[in-house]
Amino acid sequence: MVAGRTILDVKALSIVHPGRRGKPASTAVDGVDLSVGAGEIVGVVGESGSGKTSLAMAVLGLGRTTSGSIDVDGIVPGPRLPLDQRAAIQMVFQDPHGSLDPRQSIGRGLRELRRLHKARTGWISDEDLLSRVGLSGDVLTRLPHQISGGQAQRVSIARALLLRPTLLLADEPTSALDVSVQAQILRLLKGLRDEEGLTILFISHDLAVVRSVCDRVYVMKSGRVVESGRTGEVLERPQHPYTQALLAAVPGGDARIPGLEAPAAEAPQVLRDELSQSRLATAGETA
Amino acid sequence: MSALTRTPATYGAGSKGRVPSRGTASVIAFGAPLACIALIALLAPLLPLSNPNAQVLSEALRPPAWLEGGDWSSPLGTDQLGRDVLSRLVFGGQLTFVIAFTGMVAGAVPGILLGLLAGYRRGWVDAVISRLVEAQLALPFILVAIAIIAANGRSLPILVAVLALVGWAQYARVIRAETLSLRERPFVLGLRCAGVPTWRIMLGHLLPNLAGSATVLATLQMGTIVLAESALSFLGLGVVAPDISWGAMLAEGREQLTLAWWVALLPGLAITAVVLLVNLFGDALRSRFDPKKRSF
Ligand SMILES: Nc1ncnc2c1ncn2[C@@H]1O[C@H](COP(=O)(O)OP(=O)(O)O)[C@@H](O)[C@H]1O
Ligand SMILES: [Mg+2]
Repeated sequence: MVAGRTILDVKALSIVHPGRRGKPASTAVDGVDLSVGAGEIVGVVGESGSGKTSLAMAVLGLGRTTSGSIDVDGIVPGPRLPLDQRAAIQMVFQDPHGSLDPRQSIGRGLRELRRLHKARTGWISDEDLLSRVGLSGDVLTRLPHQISGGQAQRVSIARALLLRPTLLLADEPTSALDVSVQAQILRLLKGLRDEEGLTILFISHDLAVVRSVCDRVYVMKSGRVVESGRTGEVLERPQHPYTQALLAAVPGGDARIPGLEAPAAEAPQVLRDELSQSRLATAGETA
Repeated sequence: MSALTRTPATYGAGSKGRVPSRGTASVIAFGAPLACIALIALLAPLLPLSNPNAQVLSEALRPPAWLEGGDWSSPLGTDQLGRDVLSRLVFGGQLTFVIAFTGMVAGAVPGILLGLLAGYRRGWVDAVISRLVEAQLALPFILVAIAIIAANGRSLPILVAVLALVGWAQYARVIRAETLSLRERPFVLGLRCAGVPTWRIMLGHLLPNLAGSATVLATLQMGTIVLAESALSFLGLGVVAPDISWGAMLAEGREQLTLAWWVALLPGLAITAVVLLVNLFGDALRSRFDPKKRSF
């Protein structure tokens, strides 16, 4: 892991969805600047409709962009990327079962990816890959409806990992899961970052979830970033009224995911220094 | 991190040994007689039946065996040329089934592919295909059939082509609508983000997920095609003698309807029974395949 290398660099990104059938055009993302360093887990938090998914789809290269630029480690995401660049940006979706072809067994799905990306996928066997995400080899023969939501989400993560992405996008990856399963998936994502230096852009509307996994966080409201910085600082001393309102809306005001400690203590020292600097920088901008 | 490698409880494994539901029972109840009829018709040359085209004028218009003047040498009677009605029914059934099946396949293949293409690509591809479908559905079938057959003459390939033309638009319409909703499912996005090519997504992933609807539709279409073929043959636009189909038998028998009802009524009953069974079978399949009625 090269500390401090920027993996995702979003500059002045705007996304306007054209209105359909009489509805006016809506600005989903409005001049967003955002960056994610190698090995970081960066959160994007905001209420529903604040433009988080639009942002993620644009970074994936399969969504709309109106203006601004996106750079993923030298790749400009788009719908017609060469296979190898396509594999470099992977995404995990909210609906665990909906993310898998209902008629394709888990093993056949992995085989399809291996056939498509021969050179990229040889690094690990199916069994090792599955054990990496906490699953045993017997899920290989199962169809998606024969595994639980938590298992399906692990399979989705495994499918993404198989392609060795430089950036993993996770759009509300735990919102459809029970709280206990939620904690397991979050622990898995953190483990992948800690042990393999996976870089993750983590999207959620849930402050407790963001607090437990993200090193840094961007708070979005109506398509704009209203506040950003190290997770602990943003959530402990929120500057923007919107963040304060979001925090006040969480029951108890200090929700944490049981079994997950605050991330700052776990982040490598170099990274932590980097993070506090960037916190200062963005705090200066928003002040 | 021990929790990371722990396997979550394997659940749902029991759903493999599902108990046959009521849906399955009616699929078998309607499918079995249909399969029997098809089997008898297809094995016609192997059965101890007289030549369906052998004319014995002295034996003309003999009633079925159980009626006065009947004879077990021709159990269902004979027609105006003294041909054995039972034998003609079985051989006619053979051609009827072959035509229904090839007509169904000939309509299903282009219809399903165009529906997939329209639903997945949307935009101008969809606009063009949808207008074609609407145009096809707006044209009266018999008119199209008469035009094509008048221009190309009567032959089996032309007949199958005409029947395919009736069917494809239905497939295209239904498959397009299902594809439109299926393509919004996140797994399609996941496949795109893994770089799976469009044609692989359509044929390898969307098509298997549409197989249930396509099968149901194909079954129901077979019923429609049997009726359409009968109508064409009845109008003299269908099969050419010495080929036999139920519709052609119906047409030939209609002149003797007051004199010898069995010549026209028996093929009529055969058509009705088969179409009814096919439709009931299709409906049973539909409830079997309907995801909302599934037990998982
Ligand atoms: N494909 C689309 N077409 C039109 N409007 C869209 C589309 N996707 C999102 N929007 C609109 O953009 C805004 C942001 O949506 P989204 O990015 O899904 O936010 P979030 O993920 O934070 O809930 C919403 O107002 C939504 O209605
Ligand atoms: Mg969203």
